[in-house]
Amino acid sequence: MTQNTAEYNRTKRLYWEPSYVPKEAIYPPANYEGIYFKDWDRWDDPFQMSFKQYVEIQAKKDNGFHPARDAFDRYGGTDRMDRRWLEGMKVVFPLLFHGEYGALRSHARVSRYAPAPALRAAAFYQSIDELRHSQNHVYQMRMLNKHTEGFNNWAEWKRYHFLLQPGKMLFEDIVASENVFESVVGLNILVELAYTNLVFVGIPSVGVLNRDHAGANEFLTTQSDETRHMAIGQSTLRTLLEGDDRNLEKLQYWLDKWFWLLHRIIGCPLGMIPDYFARKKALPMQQMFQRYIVDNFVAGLIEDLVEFGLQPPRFLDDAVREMEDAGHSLFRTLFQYKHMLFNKMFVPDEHDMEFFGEHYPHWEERHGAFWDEVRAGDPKDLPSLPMLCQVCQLPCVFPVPESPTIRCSEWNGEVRWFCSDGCQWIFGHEPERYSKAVGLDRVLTGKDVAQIREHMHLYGKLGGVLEEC
Amino acid sequence: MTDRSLPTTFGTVPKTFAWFEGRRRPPSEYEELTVGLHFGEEALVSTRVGTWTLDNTRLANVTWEDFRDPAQLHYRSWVALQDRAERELGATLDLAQQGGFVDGLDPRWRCDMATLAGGLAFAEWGVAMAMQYVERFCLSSGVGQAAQLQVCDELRHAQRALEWSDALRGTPAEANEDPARAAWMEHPAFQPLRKAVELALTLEDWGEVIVAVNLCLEGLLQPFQRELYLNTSREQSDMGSAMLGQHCWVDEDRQLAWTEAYLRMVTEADQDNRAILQGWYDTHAPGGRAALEALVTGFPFGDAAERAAEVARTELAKRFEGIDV
Repeated sequence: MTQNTAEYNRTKRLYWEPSYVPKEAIYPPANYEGIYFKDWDRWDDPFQMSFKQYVEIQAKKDNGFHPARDAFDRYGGTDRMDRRWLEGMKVVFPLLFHGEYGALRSHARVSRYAPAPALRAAAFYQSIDELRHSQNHVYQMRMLNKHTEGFNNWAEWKRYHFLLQPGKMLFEDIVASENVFESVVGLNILVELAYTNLVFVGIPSVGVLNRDHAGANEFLTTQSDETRHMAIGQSTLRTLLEGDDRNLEKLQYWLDKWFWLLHRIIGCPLGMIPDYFARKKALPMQQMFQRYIVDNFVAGLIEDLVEFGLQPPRFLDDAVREMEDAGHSLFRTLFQYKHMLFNKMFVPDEHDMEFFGEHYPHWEERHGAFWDEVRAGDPKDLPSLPMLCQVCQLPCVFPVPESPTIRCSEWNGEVRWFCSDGCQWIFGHEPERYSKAVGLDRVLTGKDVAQIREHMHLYGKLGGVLEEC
Repeated sequence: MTDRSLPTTFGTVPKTFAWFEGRRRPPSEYEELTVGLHFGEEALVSTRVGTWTLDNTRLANVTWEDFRDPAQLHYRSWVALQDRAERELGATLDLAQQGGFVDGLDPRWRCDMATLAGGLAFAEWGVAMAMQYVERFCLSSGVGQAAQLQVCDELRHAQRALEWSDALRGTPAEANEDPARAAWMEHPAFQPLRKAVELALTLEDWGEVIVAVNLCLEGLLQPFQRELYLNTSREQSDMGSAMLGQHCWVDEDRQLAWTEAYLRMVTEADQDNRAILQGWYDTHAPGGRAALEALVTGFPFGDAAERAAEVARTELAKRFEGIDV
């Protein structure tokens, strides 16, 4: 037995069966209702981490990461970052913070209530990792805040601004999942296994081109922790599928649901970063999505687990189809609300148009006319918020604003509107869970722009157009 | 620099986040990384578990984001601190085992200390689980972080205590025949403590969990453990147990300090909270006292345990005297 294994086994030994209170009072079965497994002791953490190892590894990482960021700023790196990229980061960092902070709390619940002792121990380390990530994102915003406007009130904007509401909704939804295994599927499988490669590997490769070395460094050190989280998700999913056939239906539903929510709330908006906010570009978002999500995540996961009956995510084809337009449609929409944003927008230049023409064959036909009209002098500003989807809270503008796939359902005598078949399907399965949200579009009905800005805590010259562009 | 870069003087840029504006002194690194980050009570989804709501605790009228952990630790400083601490403790425990120092200890002492440390490891794990609940449901960024760092510290103590228990016993335990767990489950000295821990794990008000665990249990047991480990280990020339006791105490002193800050904040915010805290204290303090008495009886080490218990009672009273609970 290696020393690591011995230390890990000690943690597994710490479980005991309570006798002064019923076991169900400490581990309420509602936390894993509908999931069947005979021997929870069989679940193992693939990394077999001990506290000693954890702090040793993490201290080394931090010793490398923080001085690099400080040096980047001290020697003028922040001032040399591309301004467009910086405007994109004003949206990205608050969203990422939201995700990490939600994950921190969600893993805390898994570590408290999961029925498998080793899974609880593994979730310990995940939860504290997420504290690291969330604070690293704050370090970035703290640094950037000293150089430019648009980072100083992000904690309030995530409460009140329509641009950050989808992220708030997504991660609150994971935090509030009743079944800890839904949290594991949503976080460890969909967020971490599927999307962190796209976010923390794909995006920094473009960030470096735009002189954001500190941001790239931060994303990559974050991703180095995610590898452990992915393995825990994969191990859990396989263990449950192997353990009992009855688990398949629930796991498949969670895979279908969280795949769509992640696609819609992370994948679609993220497309604006490499395709628009990156002046110097690398892979277009559509290709990144194909590489990281379709080829790596879906193909890898399904190949691994098809023997247990797991199928590709229900709305995979819709997601793939949408990636042709999603980022472009959202960028256009945000441009129309540039006077209600905390970051600045801009008109794509010739270099952008060349890139779009090369990688998105339908771009000119579907989006070109909009920008032609802007160049001709139409600011395209809109006075009130667009209709927001009841489930994802994003504007109902997909795949393209001229012909959106708007859906509606009646529930409890009220009509609810959705941006897609995916969101409508999710609502149909869990209407009580998703009917609570009152979108900002409804809250701010009848308000003028000044009132909307005030509600969203936008003061001074925030928003508008980036002058140099 | 090209004209596409950010000018170094880009208008009037803020120096800190908006929620710290108007204060006399600039926020510390701890404050910028910790305060104001909790995202709201108006959740967009609705489940039985929920996200965070004000009625997750009976404590009321508290500005939860005013909480400050006296240790001012955040992830970066905590992980650096604990990495250094683990190196020190690990080196001592390794030397004690590999250098044959454990073999030279009094066999009776080894047996008693192995049982005590092994049993208490389970209590540390239980405390960690209870504080996970606080971390998950509390309404304050600062309390959540303090609880989270405590969770990890308790895991540290549990792992190290079990390791040292195995070392003193001389044979690593098997999961199905674990003398440490057997002691935790059956030894009379641990039963009141186990009962108190199990009851704390059923509580639903996160504010009450802090009182039950950190005030009523840890407030008594941690000073007791420190005194007992240090004094008796000195008499027995047992450097390993002394180091374990000292390292646990350094962490636990931080936990008691943030608990004190939490209690002060809550009582200063609203007098009605004092009555709620008093009710919780009255409910859980007898369990903490019973746990201490049973440990003193089960592991007397001459009269060292009783002396340690007396120090613990005095310290607890002194630490929390201004709170008037």
